[in-house]
Amino acid sequence: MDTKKRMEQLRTMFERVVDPLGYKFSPDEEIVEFLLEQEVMLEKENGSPYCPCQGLTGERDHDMKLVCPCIPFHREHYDAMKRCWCGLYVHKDVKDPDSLIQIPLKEFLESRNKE
Amino acid sequence: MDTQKIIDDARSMLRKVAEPLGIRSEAEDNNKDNSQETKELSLNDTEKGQDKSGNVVILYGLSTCPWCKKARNFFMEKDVTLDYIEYDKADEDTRKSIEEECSSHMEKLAFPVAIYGDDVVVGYDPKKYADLIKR
Repeated sequence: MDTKKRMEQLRTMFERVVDPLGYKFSPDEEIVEFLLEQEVMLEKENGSPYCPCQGLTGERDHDMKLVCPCIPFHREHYDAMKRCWCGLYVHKDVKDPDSLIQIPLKEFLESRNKE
Repeated sequence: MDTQKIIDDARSMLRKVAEPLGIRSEAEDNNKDNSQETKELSLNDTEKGQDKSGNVVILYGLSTCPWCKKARNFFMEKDVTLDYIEYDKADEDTRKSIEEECSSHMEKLAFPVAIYGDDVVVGYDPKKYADLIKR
């Protein structure tokens, strides 16, 4: 299937999944286009549209948690960042995605344990 | 007086005249081009080198990750030696060692990962990167 067409299909499908979770596509259209294109490539190579910013190990338990949108598997961590790890999705109230940083998991867990 | 000294003196004299006029000599331009070329080669070959403090920034990334490219660009613009390795393009042994290194930092292969000496920065964060190479 044509890459552009598949990108549009994924966009429509993913929008329906992330909307009830309180997320939307990033307003940074350039990064969204790039990431969706990478996901189509990953789908062609590995069978599923995996997160382009997290590594696959080949272990099913690990990799299935990285199929986009992977928000449900990392909900608390992503909510703390107001974005998913790769930045394809942001919280619905986010207007400036550049203001959001990637918080390492270790840092997130430590701050959560302090609370 | 040897030939090299004559050339050096002439260059120095020319520089003194040219600098106030905002002119740079061709030799300096060539040197600059060469240093950029060397930096590129070192990055492409992922060869380990050393910077002034004796350390190398090791950057693990993915070929599909835009933040890894941004991180790479950040370090390329700084005066540090960069060893950039793409996890998804690496051989089996390298992948295993990256997995072990990441799990030792309680991380689950979330890229980019920048390592400088004993310090590690996970995720794209220019502020943390600047602090990292300042240490």
